Amino acid sequence: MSEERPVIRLEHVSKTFEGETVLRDVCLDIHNGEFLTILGPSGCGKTTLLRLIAGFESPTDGDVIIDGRSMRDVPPNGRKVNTVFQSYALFPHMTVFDNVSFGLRMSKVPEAEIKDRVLQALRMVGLSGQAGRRPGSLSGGQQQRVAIARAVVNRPLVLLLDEPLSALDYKLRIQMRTELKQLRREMGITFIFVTHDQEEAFSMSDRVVVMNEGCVAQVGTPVEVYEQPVNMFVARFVGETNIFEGVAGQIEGGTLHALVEGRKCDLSSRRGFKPGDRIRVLLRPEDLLVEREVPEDDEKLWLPGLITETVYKGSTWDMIVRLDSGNEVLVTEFFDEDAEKMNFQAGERVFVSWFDGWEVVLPHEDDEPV
Amino acid sequence: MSMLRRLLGLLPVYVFLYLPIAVLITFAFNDSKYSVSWKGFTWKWFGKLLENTQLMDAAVNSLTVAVLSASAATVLGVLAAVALYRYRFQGKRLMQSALFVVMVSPDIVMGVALLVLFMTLGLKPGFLTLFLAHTTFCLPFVTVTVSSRLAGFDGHLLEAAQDLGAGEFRAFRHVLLPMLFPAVLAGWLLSFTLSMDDVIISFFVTGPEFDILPLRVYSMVRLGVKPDVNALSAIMFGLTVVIVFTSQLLLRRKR
Repeated sequence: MSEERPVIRLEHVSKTFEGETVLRDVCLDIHNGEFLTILGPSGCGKTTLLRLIAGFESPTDGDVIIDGRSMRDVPPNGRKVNTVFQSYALFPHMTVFDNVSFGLRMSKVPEAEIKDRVLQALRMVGLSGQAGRRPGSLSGGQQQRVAIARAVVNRPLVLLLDEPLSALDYKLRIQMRTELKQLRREMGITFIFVTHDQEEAFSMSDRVVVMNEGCVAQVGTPVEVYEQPVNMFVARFVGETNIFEGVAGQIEGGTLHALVEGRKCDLSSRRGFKPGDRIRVLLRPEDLLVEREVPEDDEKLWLPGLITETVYKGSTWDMIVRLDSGNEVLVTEFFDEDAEKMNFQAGERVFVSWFDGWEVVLPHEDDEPV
Repeated sequence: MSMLRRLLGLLPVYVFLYLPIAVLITFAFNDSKYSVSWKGFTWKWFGKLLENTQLMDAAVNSLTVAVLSASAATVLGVLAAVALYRYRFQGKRLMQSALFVVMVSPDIVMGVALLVLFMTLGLKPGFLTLFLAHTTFCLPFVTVTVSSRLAGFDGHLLEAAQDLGAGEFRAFRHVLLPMLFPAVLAGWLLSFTLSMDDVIISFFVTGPEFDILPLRVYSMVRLGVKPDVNALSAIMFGLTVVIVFTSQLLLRRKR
C-alpha cells in the first residue's frame, strides 16, 4: 500500500490562529481506501486538521496535497473531498432529495442521472422512502444518514467525518459504527474520521492518528497504538494504564535489566536506554496477574500489595491494589472456569505481576505528573 | 374569565393608543363636510378622493418612490448584513455603529444633511434625491432585521454548500438567501412603510414638481382637515396594518 501515491499528503502543515498555534508541523500520508481515524482530546487540533483538508481553513505553513495536486488557494468547492459535519448541516429549507442532490446540481450533472444517483445513495443509507421529507421531521439517526448520503453521492476521493456520531444516543452510535464500516467497504472510498472517543476509533479504523496539542503523537493500527504506545500521553489517552517507576540498568540483546519499584527485574525493550536512565513501565489492567502467594520457581517480579477495592463488571472483575511501594494499580481479571481464583476480597494481601513481555518501557517524562 | 379581566385591564391602554385612529376612520365615513358631529354614513369621500388628481398623482409618486427605495435598501441592507456576518474586515465595528447612528439620528438632521449634500453635488431636488434619501434611511432597518435572523444561523450550512461544490455566490443564492427570505421580505415591507409615511426628510429633499402623498396631505390639512383626507388616511392605515401584520407573520413563521 505504501508504494502507491497517497490520496492525501500533509506536508509540514502548521496552523496559527491569532498567534496561537493549533497545528505544529504535521506530516501525514493517507492511503487510498483506508479508514483513518484522527483521535485526540478536545483542542488537540484534530478538527482543524480536517478543515484544512476540506479547505475551510488554509495552512499557515506547509501544504495539503490531494491526489497529487497542491491545494494551496483551492477553495472547498474545488476539492474532491466531502464532509459530514458534526451538526449534519442539512439545509432545512430543502427536502431530503434536494439536500442529497445539491452537490450534483452544483456540478451540473444531467437531471436524469441526478435522480438515479440520489435514489441509489438514499437506498444505500436505508432512507429510500424519505426522499420527500424535510430534515426537520427526521430523527437524529436519519439526519445523520442523509448527511452521509449527501456527501457520498458526489463520489468524493475522500469522505471527511467530523465527530458525526457524537450527537447520537449510545445504542445508535454503536449501530452506526458498524454501518459506517460496511458503507466504506461497499464504496471503497477513503474515510477520515475525527473523534475523541478511543473506543469509536479502535472499533472502525485501519489506522489511528493520535494527536496531542497540535502534533501527531502516534500513527499506527489500533493494536499498535494500544499495545505499543510511544509516549505517556498516548498510553494514558487510549485506555487505562498502570505505571511503575524504575531505573534502567544494562541492556543485553532485547533484555533490559532494571529496577522496578525498587526491585530487580528484567524487561523486554527495543529502545536504547543508558544505565541510570529513569524509566516508566506501562501495563494495561488486563496485562496484570494477581496471586495470593508467589508461585514456586517463578523468576518474575511479584510486587506485594493490598486489595483496596473490587468492582464486579459482568464479564470482568476489577481490583484496585495498593502496592507496598504506595503505587495504586488497577487489575482486570476476565472470568474463566477457574472460579475460586475470582473470589478476591477487599483487604486481602496479594502479589501482582504481569505476563512476560507485555510491558511497555518508556523514558521518564519529567513534565508529566503520574 | 381571567383572560377577559386581563383584557379589560388593558383596555385603557388600547383606548389611549387607538382612539385617535378610530375617530379618524369614523369621520372618513361621516356625511358632513365641516361638522365634527355624526351626520350619517357615506362612501362619498372615497369617491371624491379618486377625483382629486393632484392627490392621486402624489400617491402614485409616493408608491413609486416607496417601492424603488425599499427595493434598493433591501438589496444593499441584505448585502451589508451578510458581509457583517460572514467576514472580518477593518472597520467592521465602525460600520455596525454607523448603521445605528443613521437609525437614531433625528429626521430633521438627516433632512438638512441630505439637502446640503444634494446641493453640493448639484442634484436637482425631485425624484432622484427623494429616492436616494429614502434608500439611505431605510437601509439600516433592513440590515438590523436581517442581522437578527443571521444571529441564529448555523455557519456550517454555508460551509456544507461550499463543500458540495457551490461557490460563494451560489451558496448565497441557494442556501443563505432562501433561509433569510422571511427577514428579507420583512425588511422590505418595513422600508416600504417607512418610505410611504416619511414627511420630514422628504420635505427637505423633494422639489415642487415632484409631490408625494405625505407632503400633499400636510399642505392640505393646513387649510383644515377635509373628509377626503380622512378617507385617504383610513386607506393608508389599512394598508399599513396589512403590511405590518404580514411582516410579523413572516418573521414568526419558520423561526
